[in-house]
Amino acid sequence: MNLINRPSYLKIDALKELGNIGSAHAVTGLSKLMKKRIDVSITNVDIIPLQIIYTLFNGPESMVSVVYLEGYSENFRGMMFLIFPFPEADRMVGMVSEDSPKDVKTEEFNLSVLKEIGNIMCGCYLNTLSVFLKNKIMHSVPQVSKDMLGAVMDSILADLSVDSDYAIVLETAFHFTDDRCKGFLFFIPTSESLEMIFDAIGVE
Amino acid sequence: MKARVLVVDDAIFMRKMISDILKASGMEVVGEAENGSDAVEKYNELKPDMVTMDIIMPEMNGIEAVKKITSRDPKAKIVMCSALGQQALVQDALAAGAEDFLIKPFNPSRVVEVIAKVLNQTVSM
Repeated sequence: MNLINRPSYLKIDALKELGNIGSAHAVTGLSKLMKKRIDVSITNVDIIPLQIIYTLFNGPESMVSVVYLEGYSENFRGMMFLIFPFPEADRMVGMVSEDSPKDVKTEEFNLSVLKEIGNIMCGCYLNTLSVFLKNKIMHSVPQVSKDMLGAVMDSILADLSVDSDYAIVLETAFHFTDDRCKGFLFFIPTSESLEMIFDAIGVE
Repeated sequence: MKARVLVVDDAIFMRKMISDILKASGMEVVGEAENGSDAVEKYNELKPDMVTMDIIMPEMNGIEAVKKITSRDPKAKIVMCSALGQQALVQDALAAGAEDFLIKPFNPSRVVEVIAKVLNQTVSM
């Protein structure tokens, strides 16, 4: 099992602020798309085993919808996951597409709504990060998976060649103020990218 | 005469959203494409007055597609539509030949305003 060094308190604090600003922009983007008020319930930064993400959702067998992509620039890489518990994802798709006629709401259409939600939230988050890094950040085409969380995460982590069992995870939990929906956004930079972030924001 | 628009986005939901906005403002959506290479092919085939172009797409991204389209038709009118509204990316898109940049999520009036400006038309919603 690979371990990574724990950054100083100051570095964790800087990451937390970066996560706060990124999350605020991501949630604002979603709020504009949904035309609804959405609040951020938690932003957190910690070094955790990636499998701990399971515990947020009643274990690896809980059904979820996950949108994931990889952000990258010349010397930066980080994964982003947007996770919705299963009923919430369907409810959210329903809210976004409530004006669309029934005959267009195919499975492909519903998946594309989730994909676009991921596109907008992760895009807004990465836009913020790019300002701090003074570098443009692109991302891969978002992928969507609907399955048990354990199966989805195993497949994503294998696919993205994660080089550590532990990672620094910037977590954001958000919910609609009417409590109809909640979701979680995770940003997991690689350890090399973390150093680049610290250099860029001037934290030693 | 209605402006003829090609809508390019890999998400069917976003293509529908943009198409609905354009149709409501009196434009004609002559085609849709779901990636950059499809967009280049459809542009050559349909010769639209205007293209809305996403950036992050499979096969060929939107900036590459803009370069390909404008290399054959320097007068092509293309508006980028992306959530990645970073200054450097906007500059890349404009340097590739795009006329303007809409940052997702957008409101319908902003879409119509930008497209009408690029087409040099007055359009009301």
